[in-house]
Order: sequence, then structure tokens, then C-alpha cells
Amino acid sequence: MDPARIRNFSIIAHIDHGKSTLADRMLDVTGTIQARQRQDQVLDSMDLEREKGITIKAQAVRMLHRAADGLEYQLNLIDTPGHVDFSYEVSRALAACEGAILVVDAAQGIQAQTLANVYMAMELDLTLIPVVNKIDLPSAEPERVAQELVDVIGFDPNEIIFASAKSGAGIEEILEAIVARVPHPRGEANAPLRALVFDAKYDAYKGVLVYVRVVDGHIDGREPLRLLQERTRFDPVEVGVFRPGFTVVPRLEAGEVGYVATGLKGVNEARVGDTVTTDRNAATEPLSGYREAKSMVYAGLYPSNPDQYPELRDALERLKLNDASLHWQPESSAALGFGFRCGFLGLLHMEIVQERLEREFGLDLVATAPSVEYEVTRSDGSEMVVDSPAALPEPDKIREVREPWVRVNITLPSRFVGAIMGLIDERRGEYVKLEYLDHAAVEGESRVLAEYLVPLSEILVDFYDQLKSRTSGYASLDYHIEGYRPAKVSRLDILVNGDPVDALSAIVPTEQATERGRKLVSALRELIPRQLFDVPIQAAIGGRILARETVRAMRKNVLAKCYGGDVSRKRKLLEAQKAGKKRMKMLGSVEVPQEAFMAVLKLRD
Amino acid sequence: MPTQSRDLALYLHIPFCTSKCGYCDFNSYEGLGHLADGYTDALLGELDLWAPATRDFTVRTVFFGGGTPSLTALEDMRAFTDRIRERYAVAPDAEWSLEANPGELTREHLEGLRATGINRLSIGVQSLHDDELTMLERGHNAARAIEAVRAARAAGFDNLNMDLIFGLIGQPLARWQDTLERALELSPEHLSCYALTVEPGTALYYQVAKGLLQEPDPDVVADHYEWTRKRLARAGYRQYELSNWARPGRECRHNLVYWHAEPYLGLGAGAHSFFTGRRFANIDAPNRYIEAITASLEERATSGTGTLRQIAGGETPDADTQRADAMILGLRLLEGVSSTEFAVRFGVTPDEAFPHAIAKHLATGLLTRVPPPHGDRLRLTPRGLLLSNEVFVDLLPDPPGDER
Ligand SMILES: Nc1nc2c(ncn2[C@@H]2O[C@H](COP(=O)(O)OP(=O)(O)O)[C@@H](O)[C@H]2O)c(=O)[nH]1
Ligand code: SF4
Repeated sequence: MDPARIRNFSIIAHIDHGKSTLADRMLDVTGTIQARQRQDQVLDSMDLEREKGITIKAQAVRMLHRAADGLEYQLNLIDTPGHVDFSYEVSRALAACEGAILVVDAAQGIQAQTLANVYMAMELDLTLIPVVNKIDLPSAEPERVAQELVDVIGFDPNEIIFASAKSGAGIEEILEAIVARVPHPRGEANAPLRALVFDAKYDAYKGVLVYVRVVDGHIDGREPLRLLQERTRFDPVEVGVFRPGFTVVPRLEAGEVGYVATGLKGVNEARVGDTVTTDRNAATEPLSGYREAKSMVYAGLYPSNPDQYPELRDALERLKLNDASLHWQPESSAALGFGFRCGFLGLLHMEIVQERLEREFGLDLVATAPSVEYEVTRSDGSEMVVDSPAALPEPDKIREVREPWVRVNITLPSRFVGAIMGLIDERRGEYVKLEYLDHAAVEGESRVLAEYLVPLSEILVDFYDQLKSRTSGYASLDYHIEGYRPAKVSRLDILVNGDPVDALSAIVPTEQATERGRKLVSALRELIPRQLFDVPIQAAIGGRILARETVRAMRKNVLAKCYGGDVSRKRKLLEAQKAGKKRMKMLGSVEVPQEAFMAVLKLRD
Repeated sequence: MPTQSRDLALYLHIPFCTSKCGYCDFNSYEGLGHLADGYTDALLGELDLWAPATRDFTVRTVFFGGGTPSLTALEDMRAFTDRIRERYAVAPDAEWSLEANPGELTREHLEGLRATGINRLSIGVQSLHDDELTMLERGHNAARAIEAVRAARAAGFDNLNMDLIFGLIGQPLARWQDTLERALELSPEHLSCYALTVEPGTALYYQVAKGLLQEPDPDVVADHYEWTRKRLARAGYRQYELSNWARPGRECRHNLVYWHAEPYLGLGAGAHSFFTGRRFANIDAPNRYIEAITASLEERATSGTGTLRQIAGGETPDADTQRADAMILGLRLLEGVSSTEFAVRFGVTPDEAFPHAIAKHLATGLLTRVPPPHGDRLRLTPRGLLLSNEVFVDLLPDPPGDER
């Protein structure tokens, strides 16, 4: 199609502000999907995504729309993942577009995460179309939210479209604005092929499907192709577009969005951000912005039944087919046996991977406390990176440790600023600035955008929950890696019955070691059941004991009453006890339940 | 010696109670009095049904348990005891026990029971503090309990057990001490002292689950138990089982049958049996039990044979399970398990059958060996008594996959 008739756009919205509903409306209005074949929201497809209310993978759909000028336009909607863990994927999806609709809930206003994506879109030079959605809600304050958009982002009031994705109000106007305001693609139709991979998905029959936006040239499905960064060569199995189902087409022209089935065996061979070109007469310059997904959070994953180690490995390999950002390597722990040290994009990513392993592969897992990646300069001047407590050298072998810091943006009603300050203090954070989002607050309360710098390790555990609970749920959060800073940290070791337990070690700020140690041992005292002997639980740094608790020896475990002659029942009760013991991990001769290994996560009060 | 007569214990279950106690999870019901007549007939019928199969056995003990057997009308008791003597070979020195609640033990009723041949009473006293009895939702007070024991003496019962419960919720040691001291003043021949257990499904359990009551502190319960052992030893009682003490020679012979894993037949709703190597149980619900017996009797009357429809289910323990059962039951007894007798019965010694568990718990100090000549026995240590489940769990055979 003539690039002048193509518009590629995406939708930026905070969770629940109405992105999916709006997308559905547009599919309706453009007749892309008949109401009866629609299974509620078309764009969210994975179960987990549904449950968590977020999009993990990008999606795309092509619509045909006859605009007011009487011409037919091809509108390609590229949906973006909705969580900070996946901000790189978001950036690539945005990079595939020329414009974005910014949807803001008329009752909620702009949220931190939305803002982060807005800035990302601006950096990529996208044209933004501001939409105030849900104007039908009784609690809607469209004027106030419009003013926020003007004040905070600098829109012209005339640009703002008021809509209700629910009632359909404003939808035509939005479609018109896409045609009128979003620039059409400006690639070189005759230059060597360059197509941006903005998502990749594994298909058991066709291999990896790369979702692409053709920038220059075209893809015809016959010529052998190649990925410029990964240097992977492949013969395309098929080329198609999203209508919204996969629909084969003969060609993808410059400016168009579609997919190529590559026949490749795993998405790590065809990564998001890479450039597809032809094998012969290849483009020389890859599209900018490619980087490898970098893990931010590391944790050990172990099968709770050691026999399931091979199953866990196979399951990770299967997940990896579809998730290039998942990294792992074998690891072993004296306490937990054989498992894997896994790297994740963030905590949500970790949670998703863990849940998928458990649900889709029926595995029962023990996860160790998450850790960030530290940079360590040894005494001899050599450098290393450490993502697991066990790998941290002894204190006298370390010259300096650096830890990752993040820039945290939080939007919240101004009355909660004090409460958040406290949280930031506890987490070793620094105040950067505070901005008022709405200068013309009507109801007397303004919303603010607060910015802080915080060590990443401090937001791994329970930060978001705390933020929510201290702001009655009003705060929203976004963060980006800022860089590394020197840190005074130590490895806190936990000794159970005198023996250090590797899986319970944690890297903690030295100044907090005693307090953390104390909390950890008392948490463990509650989690570890009484044994036949006293079990001391100690926290130590480099052999120095910081805290100690004792799990007192059990004195009573007896079936007192004789149930007539009901021996079978008595045996069943004992069998239940035995099964309970079987689920425990043996640390030496101490039986420890699996929850104990997650105790570190529950330390903050 | 193929025709040698074997020993048998008979248990008869009476599932009726005047009111259901808060902690009770026995197969017992309040408000089912209208079923009593039908139930008596059914139980008599079941005695008939089993009689042919027990021809080679001598009944050495009969136990009426419940529920509340003391609620049974004297004429019904007479019918049961007569029927047993008619249809079964009963040893002349048989032990005839009956569980009784203090409320029903009037002088007249007691004399009637004596006349049926009942020669041992087990009285559900539980506590001698009125507030505790109220908490347990028992239908009697302390004074009534003491009167009942005295009346039993007066009626000529010279073999009395008192059931007592310790480790009650919030019970200080001194209160339990007081109950036990006052019980001792009544010089029972036998004492069963149980720690209160919060059993799933009971009223007590729901109160605990709702947070209205707190489960007894196990350390406090352990203190009660240890004091009890010392006190009763001083008073001349011999502890012969985890929860049971007796004057020498007054051990409950019926219960010893369970712990020795010897055969017994349980009759009545929900009663359990261990007979011809099978463990099985009757239907719990009294009305359905009555229907099943009626059907079995009709079938037997018309065809001369048939199934025992009152049996709800059962199992034939395999060799490993039989050994584990024998150990788990036998170790409840303070005398422990004789290696020699075990070997005669199972062809292997306990050490051969459970090398790991026994070595482990000799090391943990929960098990000990009593060397010959006193019997080459394994038994629980004093500490092991309270931690017996820790040992028992290790004696269970590993389930071969999931077969259930
Ligand atoms: N009243 C009203 N509700 C809406 C509107 N748009 C979306 N919603 C509702 O808001 C909730 C979140 O919408 P959804 O499209 O799933 O949000 P997403 O998370 O941004 O994709 C759903 O319950 C929608 O029905 C609207 O214009 N008006
Ligand atoms: S009297 Fe005995 S059997 Fe009846 S409810 Fe009370 S404890 Fe249970």
C-alpha cells in the first residue's frame, strides 16, 4: 500500500485506564472484527496477562479505515507491554510507530508509568494524541485531567479528545486524528530491506514468528533473510499480517506491519530490536536502539523435589523459546540441591516465570530471595560481577562494591508525600524533586510527581506493596536504572544448628546487617518447626555472630486417645505427618519447610 | 494343632449420647434416642451374623463402648449379654467392661449391670472441676461423678476405671493436680489420662479455628503429663500404655488386645474390627447401619448365606504394613515390643524390618533396648512416650507411588 495511506500507532495508558476497551472499539468501528466473533478483549491473550491485568507481550492488529477524506487507510495498532520490567520491549514497539494515543482515565489522571512511556515516545519523536477516556463516569473530571495534560506534558488544549471507550463517544474523532495527525511512514521503498523486530513469539510449527515493522524495502517471503545483529540466516516460512488473526500476504511493503515465520528454533536467535534484512544485497546499517535484554534481578530456582531437576531444565528451555530475556545457568546449593540461577528483567518478570513454571509445567519450586547484580573490585584490582550472595568474596578480598541505583518516579496525592518520604528514607533513597501535576486543583488536593534515587536492591522486596499501603492505593510507580554507585554491603550468613545455609545468605547494607539479621533469625524461628533437639539459628557476618534465636526442642507429638480399634485411621494420621516431613528440606539433621527460604522476603514490616 | 481355639475380643458400640460433648469426635450422636429399639435388634442381629465365623474362637473380653452404653436400658443389656453367652464361647473369667457416664450411674442401674455380668466399669469423669466440665460440655458435675464412683463401689464393682482429661485449654498445672489427687482418693483400679486433643470437625475445633479459644500449649501439656507419670507411680499405679495406668493385674485386657495386634470383632455402628488379617469398619450412621443389618439378616434367612452389608470398608494390610502396625501399636505399651515374639510372628526381627528407624531413634534417645534376660525388647524412653509419633512416622512403609 502507498505509505501515505499507512498509519502506525500504539496506545499508551496506565493499567485499567481503558486501553483494551478502546482498542476493541476501534476494531468494531473499522469492522475488523464482528461483534459476535469477539471474545471480550482481543489484544490480551495470555491467561497470566488477564489475571495480572497487564500485557506482557506486544500484539498488533491491522485495521482498514475509510476516513473523512473518502480514502481508505491502513491503521496498524501495535500494543505495548504494560510494565516497567518490560520497558525495553515497550521502547521497540514504540519505535515501530510514528504516533501514539495517550489514554488517561478521566477520574484518575496521569500516572507515573504513563508519563515514563510518554517521555519514551517523545524521545522517539512520536506524535502524541491525548485522549481523556471514561468521560461517562460519574466521578470523571475531564476538565481537570485535561488541564493536567496541558500542564504536565504541554499539550495544546485543542488537541485533547474526550472519549468514552465504553459508550463509543469520541472514537471516530480518535480515528480521524490518527489519520490527520500521525505522520505516514517515510521509508525508502527501493533501499535494501530493513525491518524492525518489535516482538518475537515461538510457534511449534513455524518456528519463531518475528513481528516486524518494515522500514525500508520490502519482504516478499521468497528471498532468504537474515538478522543483522544476531547474524542468523533463515528462509522465511511465511509472511503475513494481523487481521487480527495471522493472515498470509504475498508481500510486506515499506511502512507496513506484519510478521515473518522464520523456522528458527528459539526467540534468542531472533531478538526484539534486531533488524531483518535480505541475505543478499543486505542493508549495512542496523536500525538503532538494539540492545540485549539485561537481567536486573537474580534468584535461584530449585525443584522442591530434587528428582524434578531435569523437568525444570526442560521447562526453562521451553520458556526460553519464547522469552529471550530469561537467562539461567545451573547452580547448586548444599541446602536445596541442584537448581538454576536465573536472571530476570524485574520482579514481575520473575513472578511470571515462576508462575508459568508451576502452572504450565506442574513444577513445585523453591525460590531463593532475589538479588541485584553487584560490581566488585577485588583487593588486587580485578573486577567481577556478583549476582548471588555465595559469590561475594570475603570482606578482606574486596576493595569496593558498587550496586545499581534506580530513578524512581511516583505520582500521588500531595497529602501522602510525607508518608512516602519515610519509605524512601528506610530504603536508603534520596530525594530529587517534586512537581505539581495540576496547578489548578479543584477539590483542594493536588497530585504530585515525586522523583527519588533509590538502590535497586531496596525496591526488590515489598516496595510497591508498601507504597500502595502507605498511600491508600493512590500512588503509581515507575523506575529506570540510573547507574552504579559504591555501596557498603556484606554477606549476611545464616547458620542453622551451627552450619551456614547457603540458600539463606543475603547481601545487605553493612549498617543494616544487625537489624536484618535479627529479623531474619526471628522470622526463621517461627518458620522452622520444633525438632527433637534445640536448634540454634544465628545470623553472622564473616564469622561474627550478630543475632541468635533458638527453636526449642519439641516435647510432645503423640496421639493420646486410642480410637477403639481404629488402627487404619491412626496410620493415616501418621502418614499425613510423614508426608508433611517429606516436603521439608533437610539441612543436616534439621527439617526446614520450603517457606523458610523465602523468609527474607517477609522481613520488612 | 489345627483346631486349637484362638482368643477373640468383642466390642459392641452404642452410639447414643444425651448431648454431644464439645471435644468429642467419636461416632456418637445426640437426639437419636428413637432409634434405640431398632438399634438393639440390629446389634443382636449382628451378633447372630458373626457367630458362625467365630466358632473356633474363645471370647476373653467383651467391651461395651460408645457413645454412652450406660444409657442402654437394662433389659437390652441383658439381651446383649445373654445373646453373647448363647452364641459365643465365652471364657469363664472373661472381662466384661462397660463405658459409663456418671449421670446414669444410679444404684439401681449399677446393680442391674452387675447382674448382667458386667465386671468392669470405665467411668467418664474427665475432670473434677465444674467449670472445666462445663467447658467440655459434659452433662455432669464433679459431685455427681464422685457419687457415681461411690455408688459403683457400693454395687460391688471392684474393677473401676476413671477417664480423665488433662491439658485443658488454659488449665494451670495446679488444677489438673487437684483433679487427679481427688480421683486418687477414690482409689480406682485403673486410670486413663488423656491430653485434650482438638479434633477436626468438633465444636471445640471450630472455636479454636475462629480464635475464640487457643489450642493448649504443648509444653504445658507435656508438663502435666510428666507430673502425672511421677504422681501415679508414687501412688502405686503402673503405667502400661501411653495414656493408661493400673494397679498391678488390673490392666484393661480388652485394650491390650488392640495394642498386641490380636484379633477383635467390633459390632455396631462405626465399630472397627481386625479379624482374619483384615481391618474393616461398619457403617457409621446408626440408621443406615440398622438398614444394612436388616438386609443382611433377610438375605441370610432366605439364602442361608450372603454378604455382611453393614461393613463400610476395609483393608488387608500387606506384610510391611502389618509389621509397622505391630510396632506402632506395641510401642504404645511401656513394656515395648519383644524382638523374639516379633520374629516368631513375622519371620524377621524389628531390627531387620526397620534398620534405619530403629538406629535413628536409638540415637535420638526416643527408643531404648531392654536387653535379655528381661526380654530383648525395644521400647520408648520416657521422653519418647510424648514424642512417639516421631518414631512411628519413621516406621511407616514408604508408599509405593500414589496408589490411593
Ligand atoms: N465507564 C467506563 N469504563 C471504561 C471505559 N473504558 C474502559 N472502561 C472500563 O475500565 C476497565 C479497564 O479497561 P481496560 O480496557 O481493560 O483497561 P486497560 O488495562 O488499559 O486495557 C474495564 O472494566 C472497562 O470496562 C469508559 O470509557 N467508561
Ligand atoms: S459422652 Fe463420650 S461419646 Fe458421648 S459425646 Fe461425650 S465424649 Fe462423646
